[in-house]
Amino acid sequence: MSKIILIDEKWDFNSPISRYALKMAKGSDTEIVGVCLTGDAGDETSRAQAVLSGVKQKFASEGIDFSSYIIGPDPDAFMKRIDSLMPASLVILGDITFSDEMIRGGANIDAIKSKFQCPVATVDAITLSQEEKRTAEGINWGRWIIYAIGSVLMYAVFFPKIEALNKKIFMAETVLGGLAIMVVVAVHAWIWGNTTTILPKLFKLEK
Amino acid sequence: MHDVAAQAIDKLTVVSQIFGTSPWIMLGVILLGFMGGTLSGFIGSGGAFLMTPGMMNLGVPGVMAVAANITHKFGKAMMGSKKHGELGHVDRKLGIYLLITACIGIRAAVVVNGYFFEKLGSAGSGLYVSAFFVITLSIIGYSLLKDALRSQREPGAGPSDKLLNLSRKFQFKPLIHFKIADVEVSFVVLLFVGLAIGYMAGTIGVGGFIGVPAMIYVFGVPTVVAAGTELFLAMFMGAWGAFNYGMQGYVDLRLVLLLYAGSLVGIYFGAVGTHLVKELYIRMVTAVLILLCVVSRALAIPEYLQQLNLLKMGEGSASMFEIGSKIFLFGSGIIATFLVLYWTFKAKAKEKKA
Repeated sequence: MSKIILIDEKWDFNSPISRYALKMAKGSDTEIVGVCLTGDAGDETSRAQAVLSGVKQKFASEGIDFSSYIIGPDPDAFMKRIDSLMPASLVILGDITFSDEMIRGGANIDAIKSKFQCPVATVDAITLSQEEKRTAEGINWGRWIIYAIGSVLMYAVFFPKIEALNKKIFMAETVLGGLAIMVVVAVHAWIWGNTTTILPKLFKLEK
Repeated sequence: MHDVAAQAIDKLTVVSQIFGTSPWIMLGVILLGFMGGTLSGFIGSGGAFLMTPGMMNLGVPGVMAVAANITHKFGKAMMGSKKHGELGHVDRKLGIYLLITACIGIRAAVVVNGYFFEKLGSAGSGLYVSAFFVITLSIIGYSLLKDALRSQREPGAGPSDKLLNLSRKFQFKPLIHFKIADVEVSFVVLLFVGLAIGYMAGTIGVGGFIGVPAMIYVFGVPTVVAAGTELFLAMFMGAWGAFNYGMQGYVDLRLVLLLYAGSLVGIYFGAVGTHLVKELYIRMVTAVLILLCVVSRALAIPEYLQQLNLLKMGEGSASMFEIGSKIFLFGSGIIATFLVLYWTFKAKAKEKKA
């Protein structure tokens, strides 16, 4: 059985991070081990226990084994706990902010990455990859191919014929010529505009 | 002058002749489209201030460059509406009032522009369009630069209210209330501004540069509503301009399609850039670029004067002016486009890193 270590403070089962961990664990004989960072106060620890108990039930309802540990703001204790849970196939860093003391004491993302030599997924990286996936899914490739074919026809077939058509229609100084220009321009802008609209998405500038 | 009229170029063959001189010219038109599209998407309106003189630099007669540009504007605005028009920031009533008066202005511009082309040939048309371009855009460029520098000195400063106060002195009846923009404007002022927008769009293909500031500074319309209403206007003004120039045989669709090849690629990158780049940079780029385009067009004027036998120059001087004009136009266009793309990709990379 492989293991995913999920480090979080908020522990919302419906958060993208929990859903991501669930997705990664499902169907792959993987257990999830939660590490919950809390403050020192006793009531905070007992609140975390209650939340984690609810999360455990929800993971169980999805058929996933879940166990958890609550750690106070002690960098040594935190790193030792992670070390004790190794080896793991993946460490997921959820909604968590390391305090200055924790960072100074050596408990931070870089330390986890370098010390345990295991893949670490951060909340930003997961959100980004999910956005990129959604972006790729957001392109209607079937429709885009139709527009692209239309564009090729406009530039490869229609464009060379314009010179001849100018004499007959487009530059014949008639009302029909003016109307024909408007129709061609509207159709072409629509076809070519819908072909090129994909570019910012391909360059990952747009969701 | 009679000789000059005899030199008048056949509009049916002029583009074929230009393309026949070098295949690179077609690529030049595509590049112009790309630069114009990127800047147009980035600035929100415009692009014509680069494309119209750019085509003229490649040898296209002024009237045909304007005709190609205004026809191109129609389709581009149509796509722009698809992309941005659902923001709900359009005062349709104001748009329709301005549209009716602007259409009269466009029609007048087509007649005047056509007159210069028919009577004085390509050089006469070029001279008229260039002189109009230099006069109007130097005023607009200077005002924009002044406004941008003021914003840099006084962050958060709103638009200057000098013109608004002046227009309030001309509140002749009837007064018309526009609900979405929440302003009351005199019909006389509206008529004057609409005609000016239309005439400018019909003469040099640039309408948004007067339309948006006029709505903000003269009518007191909120910036966001002015931009939305301008988009609405641009589509119909472009259609009317395309129809009018088309009916007189000045639209060569090859130029329009080549402009689209570049512009509808660039416009999307420019539009993304507006969300990522500081507004002050956008305004600075716009102002400086307009002023550089003005210098380029001013440098092209001596050549037209020489062709019309109104000025005598040595061959060396003529070619110096011609090269200078091209360097200013294409140089400033390429640098501005590069800056927009660089800032956009840099801001996106920074956003991802954060």
